[in-house]
Amino acid sequence: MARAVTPQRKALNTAIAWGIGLLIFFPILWTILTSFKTEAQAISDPPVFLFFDWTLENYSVVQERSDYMRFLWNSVIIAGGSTILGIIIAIPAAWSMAFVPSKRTKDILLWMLSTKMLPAVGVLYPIYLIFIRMGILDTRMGLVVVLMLINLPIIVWMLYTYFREIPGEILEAARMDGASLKEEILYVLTPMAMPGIASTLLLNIILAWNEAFWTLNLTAAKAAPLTAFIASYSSPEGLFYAKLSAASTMAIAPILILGWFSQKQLVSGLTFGAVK
Amino acid sequence: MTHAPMEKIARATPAPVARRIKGLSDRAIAWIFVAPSIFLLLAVNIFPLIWTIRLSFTDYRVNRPNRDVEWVGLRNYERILTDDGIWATMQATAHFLIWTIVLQVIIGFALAYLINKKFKGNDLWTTVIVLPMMLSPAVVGNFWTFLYQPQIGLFNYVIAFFTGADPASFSMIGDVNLAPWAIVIADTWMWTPFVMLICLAGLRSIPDSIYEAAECDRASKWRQFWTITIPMALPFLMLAVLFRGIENFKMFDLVVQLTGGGPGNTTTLTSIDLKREAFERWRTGYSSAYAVILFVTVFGLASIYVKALNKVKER
Repeated sequence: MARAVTPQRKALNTAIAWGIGLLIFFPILWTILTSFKTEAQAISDPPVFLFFDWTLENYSVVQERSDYMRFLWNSVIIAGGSTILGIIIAIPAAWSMAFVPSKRTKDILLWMLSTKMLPAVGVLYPIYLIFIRMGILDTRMGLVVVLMLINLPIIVWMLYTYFREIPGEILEAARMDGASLKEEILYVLTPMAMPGIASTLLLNIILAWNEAFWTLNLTAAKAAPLTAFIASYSSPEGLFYAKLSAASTMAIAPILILGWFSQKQLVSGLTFGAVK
Repeated sequence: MTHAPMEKIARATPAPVARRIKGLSDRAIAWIFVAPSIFLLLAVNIFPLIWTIRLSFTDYRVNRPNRDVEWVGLRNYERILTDDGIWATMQATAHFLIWTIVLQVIIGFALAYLINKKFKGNDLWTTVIVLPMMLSPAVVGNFWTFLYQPQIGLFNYVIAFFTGADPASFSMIGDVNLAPWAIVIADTWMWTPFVMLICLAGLRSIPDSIYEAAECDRASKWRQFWTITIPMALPFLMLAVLFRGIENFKMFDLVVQLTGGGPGNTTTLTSIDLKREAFERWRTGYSSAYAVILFVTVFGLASIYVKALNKVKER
């Protein structure tokens, strides 16, 4: 075979791949390690890798200074709420584009993608004004709506990609058997496209979780999610790197845990369905 | 399990509703289904965009709402396009955009090509390398600031270890010449895995049989690479470039967190500059024109690019 893989070649592959993996993972690992050091050890020269006095002090200081759970809860509601709402609106849209395509379908998809090209700052002012007028500034509901709208093009686009891979004949067969449109979508299409929907869900939870621009500009004290928590620690005054690392670790931990339990769907989602 | 759906089917949709739905063609239902998404996107994107376009022809300032708003025609656009500062910002953006894409594509593709076939721990490895993309740009900016610190930063330490330079002798984010590279490196770290994964998907989609046929025809490895691998992986590669291009043109959080646009204006990318004009100098009309120009630029470039992408796909 042309592409026969010898054992040596395979070992080399594995070694190269894991080398790269470590290199990529290292800055994250370093941050996590630093969060367990004392401030003095965090900035020691030469840097210490593993042999330092492990301490949880940074975490308790960070927790004392700002109520982590409140930010976390806001993040969960905003990211989860906006994604689920988005998917509910996007499934019918993706269904019609995938199974009843018209001449305009491609244009509509492109147009939806183009709405992601406008710099967010460009529409911040009108949206800010609308928020004030509707009285939803600094509320979780306001952010759920905004983030849902911002990620909607991606959700529709991704669901469309996944739906298109499902043969239309199966849906036709269901219809022949007397399934109504609602049943066709709810009991035939949705279960079949579940891996794709899960990937879309995960990607958009992550996008909404990390979205900093809107969450910082449209919240103050009440609805501020973890991005605001992190931003409050980023001022370099005093250079408290161990505490900064602890705050960073706390902010990324939920996402890392979520990612760990959903590896396959996550990778598929992060690459917009290119990796199955 | 089988019970619940059957029961639901048995109960079916109420007769009048069913008749109404059946009376509609698939096409009509399709439009009804797409309508909410289109309407919402119009509301959140096009409506503010029109508002922004309207403002761009005025000298409105948000912080002085009681002042009379004057219609200034194209003056804002004229001023932006002749402003040296903005051209410098555009250059900084172009530098960032071109280098991040070039580096990510070359490194991403090279690594994907090296690895290509599945190997031990493939799935776990994939999870590890997608970690950077899962993190908030704000957090990434934070810990790269730490890594880039002279004397104590790990990045400087590693560079010093390999080159013999003094780790305290250079500052990635404080130096006018190095700062544009500092943001390129951080973004490359964060997004190369993305390009690599897409390339891997492309490479793994090429059937072995094509290579076998080429081998029978005595095509050299070099020839196989250029006539099989590259053309077949190209659509994937181009898609990755499209996504990265659009995202990096709007780059904001990561760079603000890392350098804040400094030192001087060397890393002030267009969206950072735009934010300053709009919410620090409060020149609303002017910054609206700025936003419109940026949008037209990205949209124009992306449209040309998508056309090219579709051509490549059809081949």
